[in-house]
Amino acid sequence: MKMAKQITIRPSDIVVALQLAINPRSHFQSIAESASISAGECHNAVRRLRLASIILADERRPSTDALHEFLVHGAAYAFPPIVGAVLPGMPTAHSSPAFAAILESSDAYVWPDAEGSARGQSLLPLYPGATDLPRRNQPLYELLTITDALRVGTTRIRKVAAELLHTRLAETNH
Amino acid sequence: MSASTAREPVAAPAPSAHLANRILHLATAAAPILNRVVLAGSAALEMLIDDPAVRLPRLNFAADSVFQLLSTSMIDRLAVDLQKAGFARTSRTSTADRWRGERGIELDLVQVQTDAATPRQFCLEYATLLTHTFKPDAHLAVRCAAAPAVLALDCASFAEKAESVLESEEIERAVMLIAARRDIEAECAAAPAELRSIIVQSLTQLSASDALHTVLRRALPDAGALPCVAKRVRERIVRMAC
Repeated sequence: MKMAKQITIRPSDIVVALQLAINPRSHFQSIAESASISAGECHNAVRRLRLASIILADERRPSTDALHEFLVHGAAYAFPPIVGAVLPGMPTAHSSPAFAAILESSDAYVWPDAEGSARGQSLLPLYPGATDLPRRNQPLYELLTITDALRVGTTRIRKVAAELLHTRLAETNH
Repeated sequence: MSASTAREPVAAPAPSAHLANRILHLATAAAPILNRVVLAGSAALEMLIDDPAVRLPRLNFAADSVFQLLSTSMIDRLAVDLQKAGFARTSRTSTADRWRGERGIELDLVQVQTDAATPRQFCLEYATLLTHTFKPDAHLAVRCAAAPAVLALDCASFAEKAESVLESEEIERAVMLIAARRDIEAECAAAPAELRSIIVQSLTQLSASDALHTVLRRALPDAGALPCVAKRVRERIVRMAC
């Protein structure tokens, strides 16, 4: 008998979940365009997220509580941060604009990008199209940087990021 | 000693220019009460970092712009002098009064009981007794809580909150201080028994935790790329927990 394969959440699934939290009415094509992910990938992501109960059954809306719980407690373990050399790139984690009012960091993390606006320790983004987000989809960019703060931050930053994520998801709870 | 093994002594770095400047502004504004207060909190911790080889996250939280000043003097007496110096009380809690002065300087004035009943109160009292002096200029001297007292305060808060080591900001600060203060072991060994006991209790819990590695990786940015950094700090924690 052939065993069923264990389904796992992929890093790009988080991007789809966050975009659907911002706009649950988004069609696959519009998610694909705003997040630089193919429509097929979006479709598969929604299927996996439903299985994980992060997206509600029969809806395309994420459970903000489930998404928050997964990101706060699971993201750092499911998607361990890959940190590299100091490079130019797009600010992420606690050096992103989402944290500007709360803290000032001289230790920047960036998604490597030759056209980046900052320089810092490089952090591999959850998906390759992330570096376009600051120009194309600011709300998704900020949510993804908050997720990165939960992956690389100190306990204090993680607490701030968890609170910030809760606030942002509550604002988008339609 | 051969040339290859000789090590030049490394001078203890002065506080960062940013911190030194902030303390100068505080000391200038609060000069009338300086001899009756001790600087504690995040600024005092930052003053104690003296190992240039250890990289800590350099983050300035908006909340950290408030200085914490401890005093065994009656707060009401200090209040009169603070008001004369142009400060105004902005809030009052059971543990501290918040004051705001010129240039936006904010400080929390914490009344320290001399008949301490809890481990945290013990630590606060020792923080006013075990101090080192920082001179932001030729005429001003700020007393700052010494390393064992700052460490014990974090350990006492950790024990009081009973959080897991992965959730505790206090244990993370303790790890940072242990990692980046070169003489911390000797200083704690020479500290009063009450403080040592508070420190040992929390560090024993930390060293026995299988999450210690994760705590070290979160607190020390270089621990991921340089496992020897985490190893050295872990060994120091284990020695201090004995």
